[in-house]
Amino acid sequence: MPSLRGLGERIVGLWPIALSVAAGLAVGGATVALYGGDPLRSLVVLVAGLQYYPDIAFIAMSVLILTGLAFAIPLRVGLFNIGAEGLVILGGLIAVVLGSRIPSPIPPLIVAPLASAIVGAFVALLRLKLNVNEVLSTIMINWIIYWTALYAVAKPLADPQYPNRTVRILEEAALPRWPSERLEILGFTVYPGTVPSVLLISIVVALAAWLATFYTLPGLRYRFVGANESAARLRGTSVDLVKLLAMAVAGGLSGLAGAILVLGHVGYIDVVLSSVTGYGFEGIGVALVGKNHPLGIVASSLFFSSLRSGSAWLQIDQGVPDKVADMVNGAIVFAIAALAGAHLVLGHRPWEKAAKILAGRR
Amino acid sequence: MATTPLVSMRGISKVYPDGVKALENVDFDLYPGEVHSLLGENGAGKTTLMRILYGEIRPSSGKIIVEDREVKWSGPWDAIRAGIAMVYQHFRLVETLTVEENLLIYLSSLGLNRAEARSRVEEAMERLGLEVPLVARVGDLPMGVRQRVEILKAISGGAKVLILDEPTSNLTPLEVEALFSVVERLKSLGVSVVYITHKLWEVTRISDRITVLRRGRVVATLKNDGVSEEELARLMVGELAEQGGRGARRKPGKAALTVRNLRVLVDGVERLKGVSLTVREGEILGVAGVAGNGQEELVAAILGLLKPVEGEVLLWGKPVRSPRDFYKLGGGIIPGDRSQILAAEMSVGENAAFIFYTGSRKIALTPGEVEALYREIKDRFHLVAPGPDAPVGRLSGGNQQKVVVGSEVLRGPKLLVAVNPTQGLDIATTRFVRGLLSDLASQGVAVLLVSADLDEVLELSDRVVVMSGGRITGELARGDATPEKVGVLMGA
Ligand SMILES: Nc1ncnc2c1ncn2[C@@H]1O[C@H](COP(=O)(O)OP(=O)(O)OP(=O)(O)O)[C@@H](O)[C@H]1O
Ligand SMILES: [Mg+2]
Repeated sequence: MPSLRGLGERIVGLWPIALSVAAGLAVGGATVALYGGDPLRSLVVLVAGLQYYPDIAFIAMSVLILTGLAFAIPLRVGLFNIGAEGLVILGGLIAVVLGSRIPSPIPPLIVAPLASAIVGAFVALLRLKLNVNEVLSTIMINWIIYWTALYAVAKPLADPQYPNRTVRILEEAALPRWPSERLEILGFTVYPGTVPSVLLISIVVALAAWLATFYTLPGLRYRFVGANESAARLRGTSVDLVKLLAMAVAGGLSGLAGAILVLGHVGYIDVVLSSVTGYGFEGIGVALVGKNHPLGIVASSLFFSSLRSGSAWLQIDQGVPDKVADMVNGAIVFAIAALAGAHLVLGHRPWEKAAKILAGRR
Repeated sequence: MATTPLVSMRGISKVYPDGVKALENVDFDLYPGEVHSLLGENGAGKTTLMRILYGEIRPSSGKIIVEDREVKWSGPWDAIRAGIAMVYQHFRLVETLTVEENLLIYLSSLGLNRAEARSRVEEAMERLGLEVPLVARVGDLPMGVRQRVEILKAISGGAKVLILDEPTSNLTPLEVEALFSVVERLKSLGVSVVYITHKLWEVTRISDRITVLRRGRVVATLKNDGVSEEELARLMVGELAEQGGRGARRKPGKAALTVRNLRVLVDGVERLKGVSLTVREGEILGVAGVAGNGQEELVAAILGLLKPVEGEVLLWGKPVRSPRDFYKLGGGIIPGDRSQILAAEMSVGENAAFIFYTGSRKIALTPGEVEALYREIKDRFHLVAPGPDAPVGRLSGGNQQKVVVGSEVLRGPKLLVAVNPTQGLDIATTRFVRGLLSDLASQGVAVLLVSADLDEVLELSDRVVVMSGGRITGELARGDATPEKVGVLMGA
C-alpha cells in the first residue's frame, strides 16, 4: 500500500496538471471577456457544467473515459496513438449497421470493438515490422474512415425520411436507460434517467484497466516495457507482443466508445458526423490531465464533460460560442505539453513520456 | 598545494524528502590541482555530497564557498558556469549523435557559438593530450572513449573542478590506466578532481588526499602518504568481519550449462569465434579476460538474446533459443550493468517483483506480496532503502545492486550467470556477495562468473577459462591459476 508520504508526494506531483488546467481556464475566461461576457461567472458555469445538461455530460464522460484510455494505454509503452478519432466513427457506423437490422445490442458491442482492435493491431504491426510511425498511420486511417463514413451516412445508410441522418437503430438494440422519474435522495432531487447505463460500462472498463495495470504480473511487465524496454527483453518479456496488444486494446476501446455512443445515446449518426467526432482527440487531453492513470482518467473525463455541458449553457447564458470549451481543452493540452517539454530540457524527471515522444525522442 | 581551498563545503547536511538522512554536518575542502578521493560504504553519502556541490540537489543546511564567495546554486548550470562539472557512471551523452554534436550542444548552452566552441574543444584536446573521434556516433564508441568525451566536454566548458563518480566501473584495465594519466594531466593543469570509488588500490595510487564518509559523517580526511588499504577499509566500516572463506564444495555434478562451438556475429563482425565451455552443478567457472573480448556477447548468447550463426547453448541438455527458455530451464542472471535490468522510476518493490517473478505464470500481484518480497530482500541482503514504494533510482548504487542480486538469488536459479556481480559494492557487501556465490555453489548451483576483476575470479572459481579476441585461450584449474598464467593467456 502506498504510504501517506508517498500519497503526499503524488499529490504534490500533480502541480503541472493543476497549472495547466488553470491556464486553460484562464484562456477560456479571457475569450469570454473578449466577447463581452462575464469571465468569472463563465468559469463557474464551465467547471460546474454538469448540472446544465447532465445527459450530454454523462454520455460524453462515458465516451471520454474510453478514448482517454485508448490514448493512455499505448502511451505507457511509448506509442503515440491518435487513431481513436477514426475508430470511434467506425464503431458508431458498425453500431448503426447492426443495430438497425438485429434487435439486440450484443452484436454491435462485440463486433465494433473487435473490428477496431484489428485496426489497432494493424497499426502496431506497421510500426513493429516496417517501422511506420504510428502517428502518421493513425492520422491517415482517421481520414480514410472519416471520408468513407461521410459517404456511408449520406448514401447506403441514409434514412429516406430524414435526409439529415442515418437510419435509426431498432429499439431493442438500444442500451437501456434508467427510469426517468425524479427521485428524492437525502433531500436532493435526482434524475436518474440522465445517467446513461453505458457510463457503468466505461467505469468498469477503467477499473479493470487500473487493476490489470497495477495489481497483476502481466501489468507489471507491461509497465516495464515502457520504463526499460531492454530490461523487459532481458527478462523474457515479448516486447513486440505487448506493444501489439496495447494498440489492439486501445483500438478496441475506441470502437466500443463509438458503439456505446450510438447504442446508448443518439441511436443514429448525422450526415456531418458531428455526433461521433471530436471524442477521440479530446481523449488525448483527458489522458494527459488524468496523468495516464485509469482512475485519473475517470476524474478528468468528468471535468472535460462538464466543460462540454457548461459551454453549451454558456452559449445561452452569455451568448458566447460553445467553442470556448474546445479552446479551454486545447489550451490545457498545450500547457501540459509545454510543461513536459520544459521538464525535458530543465530536469531529468520523465514524468511525461508524451513530450519525449512529441519531440521525436524515442 | 595552494593554501586556500578552491571549494569549501561547510556543515553540509542533507535530509531527503522521504526522511533519509544522507549527510550530517559534513566539511569538505578541495584545493586547486589536487585529486581528492571520497571513500565510504554503499549509501555513505558520497554521491549525495557531490550532487550538492554540482547543484543538482540542495543541502538541507550548510554552505558552499567557491573561491572565497558563498554560492547558492539553483541548478547544475550554475555550478557548471562556476567551473564545476560532474561525470556520472552512466554517461549523459546522446548516443545517436556524434561526439562533436554532443560537445556543441553542451557548449552552446553555455553561450558559445559554433566557432568558439570548436576552438575551445581543440584547445582542450591539446591541453589534455586527448584524442577523441569527433565524427563518430557516441553509441558506437567503447565506454572508455565515451568517458573521455565527457571529460573533454567538461574541460572545454571551462571546468576547474571535475567530479568523477565511480569512473572505473565500466572500464577495461587499459582504459583505467589511460584514465589515470588523464587525471595526472588534469592535475598538472591545475584542475581539481574529486574521485569517488570503492577500489582502494585506485585511491592509494592517484589521490593527494582522502576523505572517508561513514553513514553521512566524515570520519577522517587524510593525506595519501603511506596509508594502507587495510587502514582505509577500517575507517570505512569500523570493524571488518573476517573473510568468509569458501564453503566446502561437493564434487561437481551433472553438466548444467554447455556451450558448444559458439560463433556469433554482431553487425557482421565475428565476436565469438567458436567458444565452448561447460559449467557443472556445484562449481564456479570463472571467465577471466579484459572486458570487450567477447564476454558480453557470450552472456547474451547464453541468454538467447543473440542468435549464434553456429553452435548451441544447452541447459541440462535442452537448447536455449530465447531468454524465456533460459529462465524456464532454471537459468538466472546478474547482469553487468544495473541499468540493463532496473527501471529507475519504478519502485524498489516493483523492480524486485519483476525480477523475482520472471517466467512465472502468476496473474494477480498484490501489494502484500510485493512488500513481503521486499522485506525478505531487506533482511537477507541488508538492503538499505526507505521502503518498497521508493523509486529504485533513489537508492545508492550499491543498494540497487543488492536489489538485483537479492531478487535473482531468491528466485532460486539452478544456474547463475554473474557478470561483475560486485561492481559498485563496498568492501563488506562485496564480501557478502562473494560468500553468497560460494554458498550457492556449495548448495549445488552451477555458477558462471564473468568478471573483469581478476582477483575476484581467482578467489572464487573452481576452474578459470580465459577469453581473448572472442576465443577461449586456455583453461586453468584452481590452484594452478595464477595472475601470471592468466595474464599470459589474456594476451594470447
Ligand atoms: N533522491 C533520493 N531520495 C531519497 N533518498 C536518497 C536519494 N538519493 C540517495 N538517497 C539515500 O541517501 C543515502 C546516501 O546515498 P548516496 O547515493 O549518496 O550514497 P553513496 O555513498 O554514493 O553510495 P554508493 O557507493 O552505493 O553509490 C542512501 O541511503 C540513499 O538511499
Ligand atoms: Mg554513489
